[in-house]
Amino acid sequence: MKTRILIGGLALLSALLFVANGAWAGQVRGVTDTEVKIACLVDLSGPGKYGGPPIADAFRTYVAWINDTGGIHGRKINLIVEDNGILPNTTMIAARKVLLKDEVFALAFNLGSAGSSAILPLCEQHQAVLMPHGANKEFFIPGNKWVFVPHTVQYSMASRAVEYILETNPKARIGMIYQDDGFGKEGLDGARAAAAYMGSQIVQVAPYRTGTIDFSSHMSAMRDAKVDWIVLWTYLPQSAAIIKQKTVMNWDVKLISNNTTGVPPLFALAGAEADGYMLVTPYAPGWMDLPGIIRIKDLTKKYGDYEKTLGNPSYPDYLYMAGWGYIEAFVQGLRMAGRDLTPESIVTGLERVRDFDMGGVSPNISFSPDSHVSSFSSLVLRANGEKGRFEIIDPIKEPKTPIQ
Amino acid sequence: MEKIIEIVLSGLSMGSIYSLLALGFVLIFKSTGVLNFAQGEFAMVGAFICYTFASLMKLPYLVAFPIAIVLGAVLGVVIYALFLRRMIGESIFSTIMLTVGLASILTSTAGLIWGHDVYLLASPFTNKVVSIRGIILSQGALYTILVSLILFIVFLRFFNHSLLGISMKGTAEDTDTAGLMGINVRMIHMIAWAIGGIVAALAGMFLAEQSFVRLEMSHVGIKAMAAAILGGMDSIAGAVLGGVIVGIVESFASSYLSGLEFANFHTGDIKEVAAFAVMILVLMIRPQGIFGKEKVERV
Amino acid sequence: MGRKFKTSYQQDSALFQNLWVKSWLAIAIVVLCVLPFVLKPYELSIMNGIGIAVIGALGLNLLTGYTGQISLCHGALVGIGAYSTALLSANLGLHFLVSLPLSGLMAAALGLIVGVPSLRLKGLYLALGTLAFGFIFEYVILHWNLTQGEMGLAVPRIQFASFVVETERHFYFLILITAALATLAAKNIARSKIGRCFVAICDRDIAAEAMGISLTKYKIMAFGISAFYAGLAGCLLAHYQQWIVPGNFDLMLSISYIAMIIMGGLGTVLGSILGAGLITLIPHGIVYLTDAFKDVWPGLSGLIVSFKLGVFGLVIVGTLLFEPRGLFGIYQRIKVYWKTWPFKY
Repeated sequence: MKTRILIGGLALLSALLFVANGAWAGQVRGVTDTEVKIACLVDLSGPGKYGGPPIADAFRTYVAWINDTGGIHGRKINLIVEDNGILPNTTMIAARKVLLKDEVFALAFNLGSAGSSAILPLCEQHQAVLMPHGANKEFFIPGNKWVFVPHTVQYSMASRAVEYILETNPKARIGMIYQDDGFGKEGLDGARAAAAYMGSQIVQVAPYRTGTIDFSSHMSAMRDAKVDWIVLWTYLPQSAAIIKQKTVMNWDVKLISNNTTGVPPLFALAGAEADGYMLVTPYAPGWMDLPGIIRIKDLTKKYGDYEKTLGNPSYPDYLYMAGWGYIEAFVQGLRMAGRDLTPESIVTGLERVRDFDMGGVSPNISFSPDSHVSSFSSLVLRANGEKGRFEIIDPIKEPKTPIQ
Repeated sequence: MEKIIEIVLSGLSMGSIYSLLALGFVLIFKSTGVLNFAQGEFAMVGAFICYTFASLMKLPYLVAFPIAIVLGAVLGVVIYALFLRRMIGESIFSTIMLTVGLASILTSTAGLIWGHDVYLLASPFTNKVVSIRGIILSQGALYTILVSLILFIVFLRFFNHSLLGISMKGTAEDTDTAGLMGINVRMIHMIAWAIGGIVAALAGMFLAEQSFVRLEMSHVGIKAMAAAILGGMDSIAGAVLGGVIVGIVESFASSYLSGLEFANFHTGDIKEVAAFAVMILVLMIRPQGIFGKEKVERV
Repeated sequence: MGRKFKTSYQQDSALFQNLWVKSWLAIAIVVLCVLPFVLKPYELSIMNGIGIAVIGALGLNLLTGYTGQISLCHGALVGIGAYSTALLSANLGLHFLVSLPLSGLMAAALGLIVGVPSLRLKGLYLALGTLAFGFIFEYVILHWNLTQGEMGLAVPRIQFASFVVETERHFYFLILITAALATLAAKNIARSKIGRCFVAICDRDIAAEAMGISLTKYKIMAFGISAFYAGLAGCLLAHYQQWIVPGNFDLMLSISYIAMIIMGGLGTVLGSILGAGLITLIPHGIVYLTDAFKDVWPGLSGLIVSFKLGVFGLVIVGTLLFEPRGLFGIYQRIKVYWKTWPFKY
């Protein structure tokens, strides 16, 4: 008897599963006549909290300016900044929240590459444009209809670093210390491809797990391999620790790294020893008087908190610029999409963004139906320990190494 | 040969930090029966306190150092008095979970107070090295090893010769009987937590000396736990040895096994799991750890 | 008389003991079936998260609550289930109905490997041994080409003939059915001989052995069953998320599962369900809180966000200090209070 009721109940439930058809029809999610809702997922709580607030600041300032000047096609932007805790699980929760609860039109930013790939299916299912930061190769090969990346990718930056080394010294012996995760391996692949393309090779590699700070064995492995350049695919604390280890070992090796380490706190951690540290980045340093930077500063003075952000000498300005680049690219897409805003029209709108002038802050932004990555170009900067800032030593250039 | 010595020395300097933390685990576990999952967080807070006094308030490092130790002890006592005192007699799962909860509260609070950035704790030995016949060792590492060694001897003597130490051992053996013999059990527990806080603060400051001050420092606690288990949860000598083993194993793994690439597997940074693999191997042979006493159980 | 007192063992171990329980159950089933037509998609996604957590928590409770073997690698076993189904259905094209039990079995097989050392290890040593296994699992999936490292794997959609399970509501029913079957199975295991052997081992393993219970057999069985449940949860999670990354199955997940069963109540089926609900709701509760204060009091809302992890800790510490037996203890206190009202005892 009991078994029969049970089986009957289950059959009923299964029937409901098939009957229930969950199409929530209606107008476009997150778009009304007067408003378009977009989300910015950054880390406001977890281990990456360092990076979240500057990006959110840039988004808020830019949106305040757009809304003050009348919005886009009569629609104001309603910005939802949500904490994604940078880990895949927490990013998942945040993405569900903004898509299902707030019902945003698109995700104009997400910090954290593993988290970005974890939420990609969700964005596809809900037809939401996703602009991931720190994007990996997976996002542009073969390319995804909903994913747009307004700056270069780790792979190309690593290629650029190695090409720069081999152009200045074709006989350089190159070693690499990289973070043992998607971010670091992407860098390793890019560096190896560039070395092979230039007829050289990476002679020694040493991975480290995220969070490691003891680099004595990595650095002695590098010294044993007699390298004279080390490419670092690391984050800020690790770069500072490596600079420290270099000093302890009294070893004059040249270091070149990626954009994430190009922030003023590096000088606070490594002091004068940071002098000569190089890095590849798509963003010009914030102290320079480029037209794009002056424009961003003026707008920040008017709509944001300048003293707390770009006016603060120890502020990680590249993150602010990165956030700015993302929202600027997205809003340009909104403009191109026209008044009739749908998931399809924003995709074609973004694809029509061509050579949008960034005033030297970063390479100009252009997307096309074939390429959802704006550009593969980047700069090389060098730390000036005396002045405590970075200076451009090699202008914006695209790496020659093809991406496989 | 030189390379081997260098690897051993670098393993020793990390290993003594593990030993210090493992010592905290063992002390607290021995006398109160609690496995303190927040030990790594204690270390992190200790380092941040030292940073506050030394770098923010510009006190000399040698003044900030003892302040951090004292406050580390206070933290241990406060945590005990507020939370663990009420948990006596609860199951081991509950106490573990409680300390896990405490760990996340400590991390969040530290994040609110000091922020999520990376900070430099400059000490008199920062960036200074000792060079013995071509083998380079940073002064910080050297002091870490020396202080741990001294502390180890002090604790051994304390437990075997001082009245307080002996009564702590007695409490660990059998809390009820110890109480009946006139030992103030609560006092003993509190002292154990205070000592746990002190060694954690020391470990935190030494770790900050070798690296920087940041919230993620607390991750070192889990490896120290592996070290404590490896040596045997109820043995002080075991904790120290376990820490050293973990440090040296990591150092060798990182030098010889990291970054190898095979057809469809690359070893990456194998250092992070090497300690755990060794721990499992040891537990397979000696389930109670190297120096742990085998418990004779009665029904 | 027979209605008021239990006069036989069958009655004592009956699944649904009296009319009271049966009617509550009926109400619960009706509510659970109506919910998806009332709730918004976001709320439904929370329910789905809870449903998956319930399955995993039931498994862990059978191992830790009933048998007393602490495991800190439950998250890793969930991960094995998830990766099994991802690889089986993407590479071999297996159907969900095949890959679901297979991923459970895969997890169970690895659970047995963890279970064998457990015969020698006890208490903390076992906890740390399983913790080490969890780390080694994470290391392997990060470095093995098959699992594609940190960026993870795509998981195909579930299809029944031409019907694709894709919306929250579809998943709701799928997860509900699986969770209901899992609960029923857990109840049955708990009341049968196996369950009684588990409890005997938990209470005193040496005594249990003296009474003729094979420790080897039942401890390994506990690990296997618990891992099977974890595998099922992982399989559902993988299909629900459509993409899995190693970071989904880290130590934090294992700790959350332990928190669920301790918060809910060790050694009770209802406790696993309550605990799974509580722990899954914490992050969403924070979302609702921050949203509520966003406009009226932005400072507080920002504070809650940056104290997120601490809230998790506060809930755990608070529950443990005030009711160490967890939600099930609270539930029982309320029950006793109503039963004996207006008297105190």
